[in-house]
Amino acid sequence: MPNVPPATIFPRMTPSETHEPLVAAGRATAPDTSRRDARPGSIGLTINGEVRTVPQDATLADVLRSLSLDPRTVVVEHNREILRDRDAYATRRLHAGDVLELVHFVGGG
Amino acid sequence: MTITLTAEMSALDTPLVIKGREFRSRLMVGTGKYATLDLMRRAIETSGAEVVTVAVRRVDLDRTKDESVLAHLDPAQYFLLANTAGCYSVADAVRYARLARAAGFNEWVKLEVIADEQTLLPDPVGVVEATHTLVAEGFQVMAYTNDDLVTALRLEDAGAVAVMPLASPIGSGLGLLNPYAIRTIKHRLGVPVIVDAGVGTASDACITMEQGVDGVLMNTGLAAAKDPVGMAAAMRYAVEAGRLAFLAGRMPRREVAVPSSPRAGMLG
Repeated sequence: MPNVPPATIFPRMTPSETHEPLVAAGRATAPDTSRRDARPGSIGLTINGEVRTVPQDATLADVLRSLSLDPRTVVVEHNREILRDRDAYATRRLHAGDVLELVHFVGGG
Repeated sequence: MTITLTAEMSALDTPLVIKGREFRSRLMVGTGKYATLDLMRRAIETSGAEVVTVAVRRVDLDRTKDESVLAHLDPAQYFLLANTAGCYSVADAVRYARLARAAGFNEWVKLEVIADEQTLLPDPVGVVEATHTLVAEGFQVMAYTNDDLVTALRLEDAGAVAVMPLASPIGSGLGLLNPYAIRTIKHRLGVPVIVDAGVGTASDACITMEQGVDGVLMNTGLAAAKDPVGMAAAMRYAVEAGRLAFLAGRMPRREVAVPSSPRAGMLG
């Protein structure tokens, strides 16, 4: 194929596309990661079903960076709320026990 | 292989239009199960398809597997149609559709609510309910369903922009099992009918299109062929051939032979 583009990039979204939380935020489905965390100054999150520890003051943007994920290539669901404004990742605070789902497009029929 | 779309093709047929959007091919293809993503890209290119389906899944945090399918498909060249494959409840299907929309490409979804793990047959009640929900949220829903007329009518009533009855179960390659049912659905619906799943080889695609449906969607038929690129070319021609044969109108079937050469003028 001539000129293969940087196709991993999802299109830019506008704030007008931001939606209300689709499902009420809740932590009931998460394992209790808030208590198993030993290190002071850090919190436990469940990311894609795995328990991960991040610094207490980490934002969503920090977490994606630490996972080497380009924010433009993933869709984020935070405690069942789909985030449609990628610019807000930098200010999105995370709390112990929060559940993140990071998804993208894979092959399917 | 060079594929030439003849000029007369466009003169003989009108383009596929769904909800006011014109598509350049009546063949739609999936992106799953290819041995390599490069093979997928070449097969899809050869197929001439514009609508290309993708699935929504978790990112592999340790990145041992290959990356997003979009690294190999130019979203400017293809119309990405996210599916809700693997969802067994209305709630899951709606959640996956919303996640797909948040990727920011379009508001379209190939809605699947699966009912049975062995056959992957769709849940007719669930898919109608999920269609209602998603249409109310502004989605353009293309709904995967059985070859059942009543469910198809319910999906149209619920606001689906296209109805996608199966030819046979997903990944089975059994071809069109009930041409009568598909024809009936096509006769009764106002929205486009795209037959989805079960097409195994070119004759299946051709026979499906000969029923008068608006298009065909396939994945395994290409991906599991010995030569997916070669099969993509075959499917492209088969879909066009079936479409043109339908438009041309076949001769009536009869139980007795009728000579093609004149009976008169035989030697004495």
